[in-house]
Amino acid sequence: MSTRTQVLKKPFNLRLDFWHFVIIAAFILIGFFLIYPLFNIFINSFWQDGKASLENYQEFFSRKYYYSALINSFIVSTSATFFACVLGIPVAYAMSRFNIPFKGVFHILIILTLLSPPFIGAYSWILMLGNNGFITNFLANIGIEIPSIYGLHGMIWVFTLQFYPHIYLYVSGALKTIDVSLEEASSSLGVSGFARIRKVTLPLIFPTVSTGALMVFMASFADFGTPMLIGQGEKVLPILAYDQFISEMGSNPAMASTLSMILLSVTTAVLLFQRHIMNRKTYTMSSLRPPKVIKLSPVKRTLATLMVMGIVTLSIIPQATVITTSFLKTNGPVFVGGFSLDSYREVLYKVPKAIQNTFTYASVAIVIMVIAGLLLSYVVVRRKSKITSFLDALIMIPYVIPGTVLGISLIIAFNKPPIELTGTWVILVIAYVVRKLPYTMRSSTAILHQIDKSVEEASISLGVPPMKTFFKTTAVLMIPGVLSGAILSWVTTINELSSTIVLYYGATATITVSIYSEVFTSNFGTAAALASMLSLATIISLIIIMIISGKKEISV
Amino acid sequence: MQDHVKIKQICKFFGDNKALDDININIKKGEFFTLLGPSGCGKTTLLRILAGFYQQEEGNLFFEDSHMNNIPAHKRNIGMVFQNYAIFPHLTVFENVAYGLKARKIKKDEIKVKVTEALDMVELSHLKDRQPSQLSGGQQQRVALARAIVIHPGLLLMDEPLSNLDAKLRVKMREDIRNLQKSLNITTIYVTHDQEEALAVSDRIAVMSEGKVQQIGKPHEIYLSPVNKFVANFIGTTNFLDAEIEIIDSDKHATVFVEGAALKTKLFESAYGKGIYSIRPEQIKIKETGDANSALVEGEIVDATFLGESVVYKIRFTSGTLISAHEHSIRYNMLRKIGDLVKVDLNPEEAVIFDESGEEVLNEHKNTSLKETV
Repeated sequence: MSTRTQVLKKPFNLRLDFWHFVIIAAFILIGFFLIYPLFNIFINSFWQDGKASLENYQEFFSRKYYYSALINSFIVSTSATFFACVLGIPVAYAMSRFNIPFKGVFHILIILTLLSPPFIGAYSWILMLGNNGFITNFLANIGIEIPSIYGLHGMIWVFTLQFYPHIYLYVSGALKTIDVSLEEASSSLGVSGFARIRKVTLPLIFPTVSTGALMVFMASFADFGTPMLIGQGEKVLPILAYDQFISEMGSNPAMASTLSMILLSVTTAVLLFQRHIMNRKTYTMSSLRPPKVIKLSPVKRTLATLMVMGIVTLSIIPQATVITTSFLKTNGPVFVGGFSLDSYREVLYKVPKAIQNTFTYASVAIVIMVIAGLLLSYVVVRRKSKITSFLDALIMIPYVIPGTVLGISLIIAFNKPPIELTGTWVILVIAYVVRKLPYTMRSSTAILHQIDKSVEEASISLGVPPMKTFFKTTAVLMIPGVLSGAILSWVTTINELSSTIVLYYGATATITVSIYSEVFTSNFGTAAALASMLSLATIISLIIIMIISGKKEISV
Repeated sequence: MQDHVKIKQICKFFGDNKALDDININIKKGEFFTLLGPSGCGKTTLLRILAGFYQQEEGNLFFEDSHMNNIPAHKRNIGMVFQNYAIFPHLTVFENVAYGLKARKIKKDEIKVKVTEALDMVELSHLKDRQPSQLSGGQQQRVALARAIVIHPGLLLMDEPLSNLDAKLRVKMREDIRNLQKSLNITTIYVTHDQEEALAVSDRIAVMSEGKVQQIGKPHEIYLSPVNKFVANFIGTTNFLDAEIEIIDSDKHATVFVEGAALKTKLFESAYGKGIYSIRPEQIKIKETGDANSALVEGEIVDATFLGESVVYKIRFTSGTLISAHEHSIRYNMLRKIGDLVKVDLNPEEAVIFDESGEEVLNEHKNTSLKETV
């Protein structure tokens, strides 16, 4: 049988498929809602009285009012990072190596600490150690004067207790993958005990510690609520940017843009610095023999347990205080004694819209994030190319953008026609999706890496077209990963303050904004009731994540 | 017999790297055809082009008379079995096998009949309600096989289906696959790097290396008359010895000097100078030292490995060259000892002589005639 034998030089037509459209759409949306606003404030920061100049930057570095905020931010963030390591590493070591009881409970409490908004922690410490705090009053009654919680040291205290879980989570992960024979080899060479930890274990987990430290630094550096409540006169950068933007004395968007750019430069520089260290000091370990849990003697076990319990308790006290406070009888700022549900009644009467808003916006955002997480992670993992790697990098940018900065950039970009979004709920949802999508992306790509590629090919070869194949196989298999990531995004969304405070507008206020204004007007009862609602929603969400992922542990 | 698959001048590039270089293969209907080669030789790439997962940059692909270049994978009616099984983890065994039938909009009761039949063929009917995670590797691969054949594919493609199984199971599975393929008379293209597996199951084998087909032939052909040094080396084991060729008459009779022995052979074409003398261990005859034939090479046994049915001897020639030779071990008194001096018959009748580059066969040997049976 004879056949044509000529060689077709271009035998195929280049066809655009569904995934090309996903990539194009992603670039357009990111360009519009992330790159354009950031570019905008970048330009804005060089603009003064209608002409380009460096005046804003000059002013920043010449006036103490401005640059002292930068110094304060550095002091607070580096100290919090240091102390978080001091707390986090021992807890992680004890939890993963020793037979401590109630590990599960401690683990959940630590994660709960991390996920509750920092400003609630700050507020709660004010309730305890503020000028009229119950611990302060109690100690004053028995004649002990303690220094006020207000100021930089208060911020450091709150951030340390709030963010050490980052260190704990990263280090626990790393400790599980250390090959125990390295430590045994060290012992057999005569280096053991604390010397071994210092010379072998710590250097091995150093890269992971640095990643955790980066998270702590970023979170402390960008947080808005805590310094606002507890700073009292000591300004940090996010506060300054917010002040400049929404000042009663007439706002100064150019200076706010300049401050935003400085914030961004710092976070980016810190990120790059950490990456640089990581590249030089990363050891790949294939854990041939993961370490076993050591059974301690009763005395040592008790000591280790007390250490973990002490730190965990200290960090969860704010939550407990808030929940207790929410059930106290109050009359404005004054607690009148006894328990009641008055605060909840008042909240439902006073700010029902805020409660509704929080859950509506977060739900709209989670739907968008599930869809985006599903499609984008597929594109990034399975259609790997220079273009999709670039897309991946763009999606991760919000990790380094402080919420305040994102809020300011979105307002400046969309406060005038043709696209006027300022004051609408849409702009809040956009901010939430942009900021929190990285969480969803991370867990979506993680699960996708575990799904066998050839499953799809099997389906296609059995006659199911590629798009339908995706939804019948890979998409179904990805759901647990995407959902647990999205719920995590959801949790951080309902607890979000720093961009909401810039973007909300009367009718679009959320629970966090209401808590913030209630605290400012000293309505501690109602603030506590609202905060407790958030805590409850957070706990329920965590339980759902654990059920979905079928795991006992959550990686945040 | 009619050609089922025609691969014409296919080339495939990955960047600047030419993964497939001018591949031409015709595969007959009902044939069990194997693509054999070391990793990176392009065999899986070729299989994926047949399946439609890759597109070739040049060349044409025909199934019977249909031009397949622009037919997407899901319309090629191919059954495919993957190295890592690729079972749908969220579906039961039954649902896995029924998957392709559902896509073909077949009625429910008919699906049930066909799935049951397919599961019977792979001896898994009793596990039809299991989740894949409850199955062993071998069982999962049987599910994959049932899933591939239940749709009555025009072509069955298998990509190293046995490489994740343990040795014993591998032998059993390959026999089962071969029997199933024969009874269904389904054209099968099978990719493997395991030459023993390829020899055992195939009707024909294409030996590939560096993106090129080196030789296509029946298993005994590629074993007994390899067309170049690569094939001789990749299939089975062989000894390569340096050779010096001298023509002695116009009828292309030649003398080949190997290890000092003058061996008589007949060439296809006039050639002289350096060559490579390839002789398999079982083709070598070990003689006693008393044998005065000048075509024998003297050597010493330096190692002996007893394998049961045979013994592998390492023999060192006086020049220092080491060769290995097999001898059947029938009786105690036939076993040789390390240190024994022997003479070796290099058996030029069966040896294959390549040119210096190893690309071309120079001599006619006992198995040369095989080529005409193709």
